[in-house]
Amino acid sequence: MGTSAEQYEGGRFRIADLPFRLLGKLGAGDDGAMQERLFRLTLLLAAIVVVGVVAATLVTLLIGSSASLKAFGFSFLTGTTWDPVSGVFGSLPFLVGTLVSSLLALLICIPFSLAISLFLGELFRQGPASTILKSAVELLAGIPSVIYGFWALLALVPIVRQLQIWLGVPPYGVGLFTASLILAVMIVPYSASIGREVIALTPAELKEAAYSLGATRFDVVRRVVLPYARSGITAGILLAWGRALGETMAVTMVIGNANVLPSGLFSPSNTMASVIANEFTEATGSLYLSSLIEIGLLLFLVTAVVNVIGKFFIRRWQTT
Amino acid sequence: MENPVLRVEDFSASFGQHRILSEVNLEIERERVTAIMGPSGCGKTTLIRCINRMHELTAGASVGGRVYLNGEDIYRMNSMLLRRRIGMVFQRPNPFPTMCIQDNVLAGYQLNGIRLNRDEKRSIVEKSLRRAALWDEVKDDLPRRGVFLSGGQQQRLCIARALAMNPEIAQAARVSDFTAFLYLGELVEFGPSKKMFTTPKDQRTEEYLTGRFG
Amino acid sequence: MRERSIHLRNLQNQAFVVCVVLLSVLSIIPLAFILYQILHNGIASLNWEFLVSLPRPVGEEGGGIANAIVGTGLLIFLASLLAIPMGIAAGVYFSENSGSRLSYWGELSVEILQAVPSIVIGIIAYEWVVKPLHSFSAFSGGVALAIMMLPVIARTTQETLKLIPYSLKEAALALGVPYWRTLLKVVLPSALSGILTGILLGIARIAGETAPLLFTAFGNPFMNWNVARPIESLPLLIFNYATSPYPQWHTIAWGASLVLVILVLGLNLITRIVTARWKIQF
Repeated sequence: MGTSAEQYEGGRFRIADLPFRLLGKLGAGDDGAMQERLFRLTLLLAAIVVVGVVAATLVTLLIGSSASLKAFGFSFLTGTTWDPVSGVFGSLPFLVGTLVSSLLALLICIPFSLAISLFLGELFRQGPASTILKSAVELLAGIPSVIYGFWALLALVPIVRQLQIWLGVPPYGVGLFTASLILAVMIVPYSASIGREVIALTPAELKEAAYSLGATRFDVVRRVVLPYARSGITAGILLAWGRALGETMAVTMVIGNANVLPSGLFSPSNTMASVIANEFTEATGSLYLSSLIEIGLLLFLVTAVVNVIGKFFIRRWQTT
Repeated sequence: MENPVLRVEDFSASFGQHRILSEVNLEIERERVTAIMGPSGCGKTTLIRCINRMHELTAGASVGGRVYLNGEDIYRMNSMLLRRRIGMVFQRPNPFPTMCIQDNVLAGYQLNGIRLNRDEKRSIVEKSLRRAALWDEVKDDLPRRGVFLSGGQQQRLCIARALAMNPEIAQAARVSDFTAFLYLGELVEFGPSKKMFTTPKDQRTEEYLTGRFG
Repeated sequence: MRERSIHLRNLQNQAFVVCVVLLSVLSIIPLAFILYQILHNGIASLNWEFLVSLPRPVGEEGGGIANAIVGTGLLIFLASLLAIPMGIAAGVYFSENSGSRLSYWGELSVEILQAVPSIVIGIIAYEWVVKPLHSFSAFSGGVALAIMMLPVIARTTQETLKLIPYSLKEAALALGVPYWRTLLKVVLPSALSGILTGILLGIARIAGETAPLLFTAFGNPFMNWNVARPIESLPLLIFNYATSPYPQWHTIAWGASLVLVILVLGLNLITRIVTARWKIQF
């Protein structure tokens, strides 16, 4: 079948070591123009779907909340009454609950995540201690939210109750403070991993320059590392905050689910996410449902903005 | 020149506003090794990239003029079919990391969906590797991935990959400001002496020198 | 004066190091507690019977979580079916057309999608699937989880493709291989480990999700294989049993937690192995 003689093929000169049938296929094989077009179209469609999902999410939330937007307008944000029975919906208690619980969680989280970032990124970059800590932080990030909630319910709530008895406040156990505690545990891995990355990438020359001037480790961290990594650390904190704002299950299980403005740090409350989780399936009446969707819309917008700003800080850190 | 394998007429190429080749005219003789020399950045690589139409894949690239392969205008041919007829070896070796050595040689067939039987495979692999002067070094490692090969061996693997397609022209771009058009009949002769690829002696390459661009 | 200052600075430095170590150790104490309690309480209820039988009503001894295990598997399967091809294709588009307007908006969309709270995704899947079909269903849960998985896969695919040298694509194109075959047979196989990592991370992300399932998959105390009907899942079961007042149900929730943690952490472990082992050298 094969031939190794010199051949003329269609006026073209070839030294043919190839069997005829292969020469023919190579020369005239189909170029798959049809598949090519189909393939490119598939890629294009997938890209459009990704953009479309976000756009459609926004549109769906807007349409879903139109009834509530029309009925309450701006007062939806300032109203303190959430009363499904009389059909009056104001979301201020949840906005406050979300803001207080997430900011408190952030406050608790920052020293710990900064410590982990410095531990892994500056003080002990190698060795068994850092491997253990690093794996532990990754494990923390992997545990599902509902399990955090379950654990908080059975382990954290009794502790907080003891604390409340000792402080002489009503011993609910559940409430804003408990929710903030569990939230803090959950968001530590996010800010710690970003913090570690930026701290580890501080140029050695900068640090050496400082050491050569007689600086201690503490001085170097305070005067060189932290200023250098500042926008990266900020980004980590912002992204962790974004997580805390939208976190649902663990918070829902321990916040106490009270639809009133929180009166203190320990009072039972509700966040935007937890009120949706609690009431969405029970929402009777279109205005009730629409109000819950409007809370979802607010949550969507807030987390999107916080995240885009966070990513902006990361990019700024990357370019400096 | 009588019946050149390749004829380039008034050929220009640019990236956006930046013109790289202008009004190039040359003919490449059949069954000969032709070298194109010039300082780095003068457009040698661009010229050979234009000849198998790789240049146009870069965004903002454009060309003018004509290139004839055996009398056919290559810019009127289907680019995919043209590239199968012109073998190309790049400056840096780029074997496929996911494929074993044998599949690397046969990549031009397998990726184009052409089925080969066992005899065809064996004969193409052996012939191509022999021509690229790599057979003796790898004949026992054909089913292994090529990551363990040295840079030079990887480059010869890429040459074998190009030769396996039985191209009408094989082009190789080399660092050390030296670019060669190689007609495949001659490569057998020059293949083993890596000298020609890596350290061309002035006198010898002078004979093949056909033009300067810049 | 000078001596004292150096002494002070050293002291300050030591205090700083001690502080960092102390806070770091403190922050993993919750993890140790959680893992200990899950293991301690979970193993007690974990046995073969527990894995293959259905839940029983309150008061009856025994009962298991077979319906939730099947449900979680089915939901992950449905979500993967929708999200994996779409995510890979979108990731390929973004990396192949980087700089185009669609890619810009696409990348922004991926970022936003990754940040959308899961409860909001629940609302979306409710509005898109549950409402038109007038029923909670496994399918709607799959859609919700797919929306969560999509950005993870698109992102990792895009990031992996960025690392693949252009020369590889060039090598295939120069052999006259059409663009689509080049991508499918040369570029994507080289990116396999990265894409697989993305898929596993995506599955690990959705396996433990509860919020988007509350009003989509909804939960179901019976065994169900029908995608058009409500379905149980491990996280949903944990949520319902954990918030119930019955200690016996808490035991079941601990057992389910152990199974879920093993699943999620196992996925993370496999991800690490895949990333390390299957890496392609260029």
